[in-house]
Amino acid sequence: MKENQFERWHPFTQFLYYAALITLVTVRMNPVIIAVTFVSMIVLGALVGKREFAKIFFLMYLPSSLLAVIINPLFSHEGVTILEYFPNGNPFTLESVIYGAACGVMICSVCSIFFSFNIVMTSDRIMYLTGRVMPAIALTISMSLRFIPEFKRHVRRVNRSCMCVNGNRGKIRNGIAVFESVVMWSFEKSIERSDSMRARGYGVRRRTSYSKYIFTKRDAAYALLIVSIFIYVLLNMLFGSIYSQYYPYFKLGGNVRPAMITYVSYAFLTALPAIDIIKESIRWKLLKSKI
Amino acid sequence: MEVIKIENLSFAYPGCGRRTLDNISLSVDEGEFVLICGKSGCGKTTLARQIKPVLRPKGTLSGQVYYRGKILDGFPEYEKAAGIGYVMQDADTQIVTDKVWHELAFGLENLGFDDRTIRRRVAEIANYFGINDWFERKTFELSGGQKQILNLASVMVMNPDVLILDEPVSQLCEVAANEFLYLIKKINEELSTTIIMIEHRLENIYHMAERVVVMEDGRIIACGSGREVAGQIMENEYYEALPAAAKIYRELGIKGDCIPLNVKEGRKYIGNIIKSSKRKIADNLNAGAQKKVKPQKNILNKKSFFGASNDFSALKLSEVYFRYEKNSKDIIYNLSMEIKKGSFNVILGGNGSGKTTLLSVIAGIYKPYRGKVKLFGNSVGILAQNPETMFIKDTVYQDLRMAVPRRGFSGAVVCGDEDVKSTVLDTADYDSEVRAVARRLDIENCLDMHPYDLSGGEKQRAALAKVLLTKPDILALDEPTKGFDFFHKKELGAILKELACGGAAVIVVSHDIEFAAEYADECMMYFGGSVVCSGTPCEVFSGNRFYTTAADRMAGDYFGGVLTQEDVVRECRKIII
Repeated sequence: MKENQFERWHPFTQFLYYAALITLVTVRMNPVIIAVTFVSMIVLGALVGKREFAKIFFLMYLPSSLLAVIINPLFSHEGVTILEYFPNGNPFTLESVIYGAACGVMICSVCSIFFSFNIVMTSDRIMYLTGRVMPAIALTISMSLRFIPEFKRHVRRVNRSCMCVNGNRGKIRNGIAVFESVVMWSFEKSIERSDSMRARGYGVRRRTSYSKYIFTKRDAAYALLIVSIFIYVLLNMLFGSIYSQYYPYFKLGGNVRPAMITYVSYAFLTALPAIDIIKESIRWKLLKSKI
Repeated sequence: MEVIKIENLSFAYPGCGRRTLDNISLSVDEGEFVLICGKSGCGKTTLARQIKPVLRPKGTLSGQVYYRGKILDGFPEYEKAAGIGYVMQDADTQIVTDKVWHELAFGLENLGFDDRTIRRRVAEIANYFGINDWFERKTFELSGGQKQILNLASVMVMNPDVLILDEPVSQLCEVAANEFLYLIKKINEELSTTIIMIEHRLENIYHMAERVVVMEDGRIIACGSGREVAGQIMENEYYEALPAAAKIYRELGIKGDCIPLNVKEGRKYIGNIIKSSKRKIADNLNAGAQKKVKPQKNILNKKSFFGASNDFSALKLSEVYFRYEKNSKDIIYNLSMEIKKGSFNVILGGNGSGKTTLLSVIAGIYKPYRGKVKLFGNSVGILAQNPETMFIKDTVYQDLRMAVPRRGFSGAVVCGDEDVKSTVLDTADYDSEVRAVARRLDIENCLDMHPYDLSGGEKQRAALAKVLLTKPDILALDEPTKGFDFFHKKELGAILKELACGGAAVIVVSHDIEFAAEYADECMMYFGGSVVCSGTPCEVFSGNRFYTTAADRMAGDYFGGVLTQEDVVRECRKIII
C-alpha cells in the first residue's frame, strides 16, 4: 500500500497532532479557530481520503452541520440582536444563528478530524501506542483482531454446511445451535492456539513489545513544533489575547497583533500534515522534471 | 553429536490401559533430517510432543529425554522455548496475532528482546523465507500455504537448533506442500537445523529424509535410511504407504540395484526391467499405444455392470456462470457438465480454483447468474471440507438424528429439528435409521461422544453419516481426503465406491490425483472456472506430463494408460513372462 508523507509520521507524533487539534477546537469554541480547522481539515481529508472523503463530507458531515445551524435558533432565544419573532412569540436572534453556525462547523471539523484519524492511525499504530502503555492489552487487541474475522468465517461455513444437509428450512431454529457450536469450536481452537503460544515461549520472560516504527529526528522536530504551538495557543486562549463570546452579543476580542500571531500559528499547526504531503509531491514533480 | 536422545520412553494417557509410547529409544544427530511415519494413532504426535516439554500431554511418563547431552527438563524454560521449535498441523490455529510482521516478532517479544534485535531478526527471516511481499498483510487474508510458511518462519526466527514438524503439509494442496517441503530442505541444508518431521504423505518426502522411523502401536518397528527401512518393512502392512516406486518394486519382486524411492529411480528401475526382458522395446511401445484404448473399454464394461440406472443423468449443468459480486471476476465461467447416476466422479483442481463454490452452486445455495443447473434427483447432500462445520449439537447422535428427514402430516419430507411435534416417524424409527447408518460407517461407538472428540477419520465418517441420513441422490464431497493417511483414504474410497454402486451419484472435489486415478469412473479437470477436460482417468491423465500420478510419470512412456501401481505391475508382469 502506498503511504503518503503524513502517514509515514511516527504514531506518537501523529497522535500528538490529533490530540492538540481536538483539544484546541473544542476547549473554547473560538470561531476563528473553528474556521481555520474546518478549512485545513477539508484539505487534509481530501489529500488523505480523496473521493471517499468528498462523498462522506457532502452526504453526511455537511448536512448534519446545517441541521445544527437550523435547529439552534429554534430552541435558543438568547442574544440581543433580534431579527424576527417566531409565530409563538419567541425571538429569533442573530447570536443564536452565529452560535449554531459555529457549532455546526465545529461538528463538521471534528468529524473530518476523525475521518483522517481513522485512515492515518491504522490498527497497528493504535496498538503501538497502547502497547507502550499496556503491553498485555495491546496483545489482547491484536489477538482479538485476528480472532473476529476467523469467527465470522466459521459461522458462515457452519451455516453453509447446515444448508447443505438441511436445506434452507430451520435456519433460524438452528441459529442458536450454530452459535453454540461455533463458540465450542473457538474454545477448541484457543487450546491449540495457547499451545502454539507456549511453544514460542509465551510467559517465559517479561514480554517486550516490538514496534516497526522508528522515531526519527524529523518526528522529534514535528513533535516539538506541535507541542510548543499547542501550549502557546492554549495559553493565549485561556488567559489572554484571544477571546470570543456568543451571548448576550457576539464579540471577537483581544489585541489585534497577538491575536493574529496566535491564529496564524494555529493555522500553521493544523496545516502541518497537508504542507508535508504537498511538499513531498512537489518535490517528486521537480525530480521527475529533472529526469 | 547427538542433539536429542530419547531413552526407554514410555507414556500412557490417564485412564488408558494401553501404553501410547512403549519403550522408545531414539537418538537424533545434529543436522539430521528424521522422518517419523506410521499409521494414524500410532503415537507419532505423542512422541514429538515429549521432545517439547510445554506441549507434553498429561499422563504417566517413564524414561528420559536428553537435549545436548543433558536431561531436557533440567534446561531453563527460556532455552527450551528458543532451542526447540514446534510447528503443528493446523496452519490457522497457530497464528496468534493479526499482522504478519507482528506474528514474526511474537516469539522474540516473549523472550524479551529489544526493538533493535527484533527488527534485525525479523528482517532477516522475512528475507530468507520470501515474506517481504506480504510482510504488512493481515494474517487472516493469507492463503493456507502462506500461513504455514509464516508459522515456520515465526518459529525459525527464534533460531532453534531442533525443529519439530507435526504433519505440517497435511492440510495443504500439492503445490503449497511442495513449496513448504522445499523450505524445510533448505533450512536443513543451509542452516543445518535438525529436523524431526512427522508425515504420512510420503510420496514427495520419503527420499528427502536422511533417516526414517516407522512406528506401530507406540513402538519403533523400523529405523534407518529410507532404503533400509523400505527393505525392513517389506512384509509389513505399512509398506502400502510408501511411495509408488517402492510399492511397484515389492509387487514385482524383481531385484534391482536398490529399492527405488522416487519417480526418477522408479523410471530407471522399470526401464531396466524392460531392457532385460527378451522382447524389444519397440514392441512394448506398440503394445502400449494399443493399450491406451483398452482400459477405457474396461471401465465402460464395469459401468454397465452396475445396472440400467447408470444411463440416467443425475445432474446437468449447462453453460453456467457464477460470481459473488457484480464487479468481481467469474468464479464459474461457461461450465457445462453432466453427472450420471451411479457413477463416481472426481473434479480435480488446484486450491482457490473455485471448487467449493461449484459445489455450492450444485447444491443450490448459490444461484448462477446465467445458465441452468438441472437436478434429476431429489436432493444434493454435501460433505463440507472441514467436517467440524457439520456438527452443531453436543453429541454425534443428536446431530445425526436431526438430519433424518421428518415426514410431516402432508406426507412431504421436511428436514429439521427432532423436537418439533408434528411427526409421524416416532422416536424408534429415527433411532434405528441413525444406528443403521452408524453401523455401516463404523462409528457406532462414537455416537455418544462430542463431535470434536473424535479422531480425524471418525469425524469425517460421522459427517458423512449425517449427509447420508438425508438420503441424497447426489452426494458431493469437498476435499474428503485432506489430511488423511493412506489407509483412511482406502477406507473412504471403498465406502464411496459402494455408495456409487448403490445408485447414488458421487461427486468428489479434490486435488488428490492418486485418489482420482484409483477410484473415479469419470474425472474432470477444473481450471479457470470450467471443466478443461473430462473422461475416464485414463483419458484425462495419460498424456499429461505434470498433472498426473506418480505411476504414470514412471511408466507412462513405456506402457501408456497406466495410472496406478497395480497397472504398472500388471504390465510389467506381462513382458516378463
